[in-house]
Amino acid sequence: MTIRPLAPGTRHDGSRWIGQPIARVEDRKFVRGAARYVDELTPPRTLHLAVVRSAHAHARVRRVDYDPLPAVADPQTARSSAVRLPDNEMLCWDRTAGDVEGAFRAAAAVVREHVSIPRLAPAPMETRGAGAAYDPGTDQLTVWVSAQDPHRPRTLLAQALGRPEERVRVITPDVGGGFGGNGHMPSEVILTALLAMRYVRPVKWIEDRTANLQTGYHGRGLAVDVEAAFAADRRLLAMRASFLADLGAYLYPPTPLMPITTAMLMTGTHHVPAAEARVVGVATNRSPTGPYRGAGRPEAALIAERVMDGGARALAIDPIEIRKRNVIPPDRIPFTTALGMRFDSGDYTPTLERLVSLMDLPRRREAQARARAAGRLSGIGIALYVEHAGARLWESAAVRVEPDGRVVVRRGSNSHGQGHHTVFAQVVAEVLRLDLTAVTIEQGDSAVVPRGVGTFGSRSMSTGAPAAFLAALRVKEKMSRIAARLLEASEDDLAWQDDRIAVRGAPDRGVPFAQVASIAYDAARLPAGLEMGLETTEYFRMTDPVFPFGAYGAIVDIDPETGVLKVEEIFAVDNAGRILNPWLAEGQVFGGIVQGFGEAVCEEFRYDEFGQPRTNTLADYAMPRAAEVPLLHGAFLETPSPNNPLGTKGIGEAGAIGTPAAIANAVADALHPIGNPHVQMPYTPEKLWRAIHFGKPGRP
Amino acid sequence: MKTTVTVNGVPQTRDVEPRTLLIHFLRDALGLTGTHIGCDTSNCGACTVLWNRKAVKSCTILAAQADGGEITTIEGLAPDPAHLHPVQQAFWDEHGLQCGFCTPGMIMVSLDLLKRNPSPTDDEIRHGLDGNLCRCTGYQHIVNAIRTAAQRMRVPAVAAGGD
Repeated sequence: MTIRPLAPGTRHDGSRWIGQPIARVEDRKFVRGAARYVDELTPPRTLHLAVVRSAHAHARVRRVDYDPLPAVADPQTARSSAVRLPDNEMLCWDRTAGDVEGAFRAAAAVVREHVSIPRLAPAPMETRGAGAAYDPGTDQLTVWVSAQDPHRPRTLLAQALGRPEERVRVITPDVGGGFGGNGHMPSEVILTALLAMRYVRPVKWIEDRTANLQTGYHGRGLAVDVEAAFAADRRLLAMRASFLADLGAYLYPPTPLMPITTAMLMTGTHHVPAAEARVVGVATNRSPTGPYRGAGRPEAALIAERVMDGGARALAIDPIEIRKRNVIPPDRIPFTTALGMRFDSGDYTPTLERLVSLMDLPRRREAQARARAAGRLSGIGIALYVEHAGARLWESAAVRVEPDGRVVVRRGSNSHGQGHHTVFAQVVAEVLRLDLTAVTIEQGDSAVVPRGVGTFGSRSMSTGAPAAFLAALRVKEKMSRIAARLLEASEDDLAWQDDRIAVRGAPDRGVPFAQVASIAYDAARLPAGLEMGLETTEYFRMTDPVFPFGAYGAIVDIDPETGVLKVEEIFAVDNAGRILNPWLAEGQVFGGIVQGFGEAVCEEFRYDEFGQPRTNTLADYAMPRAAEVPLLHGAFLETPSPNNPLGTKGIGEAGAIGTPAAIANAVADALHPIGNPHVQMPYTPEKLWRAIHFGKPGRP
Repeated sequence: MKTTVTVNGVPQTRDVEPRTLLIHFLRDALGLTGTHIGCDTSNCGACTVLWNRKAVKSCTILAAQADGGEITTIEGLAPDPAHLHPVQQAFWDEHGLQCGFCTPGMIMVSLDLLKRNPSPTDDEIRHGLDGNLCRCTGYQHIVNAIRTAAQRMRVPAVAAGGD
């Protein structure tokens, strides 16, 4: 087992496993090529399903031919278009708090900003797929699916097929990423199951990359006009914004949540007394949108932080200083924002200060001044973020100690690359004072794990890990009762040692962990009055969501001759409460950063004016490659959440949330000396070159 | 058509259709499913294997083209069930993977890179990965893994040199 040295200056609380940077216990099969993704599962007599799709964006289906109709090809024209889908406006959401008008009348400066975020494809490396097998003897349907968890597919399959949930067994084998895109079950899975039942043969569906890019839902797709009123003392008095969301042709259950989340979080970490948000979501003849890593929060951070940089420019104050002046102070938290988000915990200024030291910002400013004097377009961008995590507020885990002392954890949350096998083993081994290798983690099989929610929205550490922690504690209490009787001691006098339970102050009076376990399953030896077995299932419920936060920095250089943007380095300071494994947390942050980098620099799912998708392969849809990805630097601060017993929050999306805002501010900073021409993400060479050479000045 | 390819040291003869891609030959005919398919356009590199000791994307060549040749896949790297190749071990030790789907391709292309350049700089490692996509890691831990593998694989030479 590899344990990376803790970073210099890191305090350690004496835990054996929790908080330790431990390499993953589950990786042997992956590096040996022995992992089993859904396409590796092909029972004998398998039939293969392929799906043929419409060649038109909008058409009337006539058997295998089509009668094309005019298409609503983009969201800007959807509202005024003569082409009406059943209802072009599918979402209207408004919220106002405080005296917005009064604040704008009293403002010393008003900042106006237009922000547009392109559609993105989640694009996990494994495309989606499913296998299904039906046993008519038991009327049991089994479905293997590349999903983020087994629970949501099982519920949807049971509803779609009109079967009780317990007659549908869903298994998520190894899954090659998700990023939100594998959260909603594609209808092809229902087709796969139906055909398996009809033909009573195994059926498999594996989509190709083009189908994945075109028909998996897209993320983002939002245009925002925002205004912010600043007082002469540089305090933000009010924000108001209108949002136009490109929802796509129809709604998935989570589709409306993204623009609403963005609107509710648009004030970011700042104390904003008055705010107004107006959200309109329109139908277009495009793929539906849905939650892609960040899911509304990267857009919110972008809005809040572009506004803050605008205020800094308008009022001639340093970007760090204006943020320090406007963040919600720690003594005001828990804090409910004007637009209705309740932050559980937070301390924003230390993340900024840590970012300044991590970046060595004064030295960076000097280097920037030299680069500018040499004619370079050099930019430094800073961004804070705060995000909502812990969706649905509950998760399950079951802990069972076997008679031989081994421990099995069955859990509702579900790793598809996050490394949960390691982190959950750390939590349970910590409680039971065992070696990590004594713990086996089971997941992803509805016949094995308790009913749960799944892994999305950075929720597994704040809901799933506490469930495992509490289940382990309850098993530990049960073992303490048995050990106390065996040792003729009070439970309060027991000392749990590694692999052994002893009497405090009498170290020779002890009993091995495994012996207590074996007695728990032996009616002849178990003392009278004690309950047999060592197994408990915990359904942990949080009262409120948790709010991770952080500060990001980006250093960029734009070549004025070619328009090529080079993001040189990205710095991340994240505070996701207590970090259970800083190495894996860093992996989550770095992966998220590079997805955020892709959003800012190169990724965009595009359609033409007829609604035809144009970025249909990985040759056209530009995912970041290793050589263009900047050097990444990460650091964690820990402000534990009061909402769960581990103090955890969630780190799965942080990198994707802070990065686009930091890069956007860095690009604006780079372009400032030439009049701040207005450019929207992704910052492609063509767009930047046109902006540099023909651009109109930006606002303001 | 009858095709014989030595895969991971074992000669394998199969009757294949002329259009059969090497990746399908490996996965479907031989059951070597450690090599993955991540795209249809030779962009992602998940299907990278060694063909006569050079890294190739096995979706870009026909099984028949490999007739008479040697193929090494991810399943052929570890010397025995208890041990791993240094590059496999380094990917594990350096947290060089998350979902693991791109990992076999990443490891195979790393072997080719380290054979051509046993002491690559980080920049050379990143350019060496130009044909392989990873959506999870952000690449930095993969670069760390390949750097670590390079150091470990150089150790015998260093020892012989009395360093």
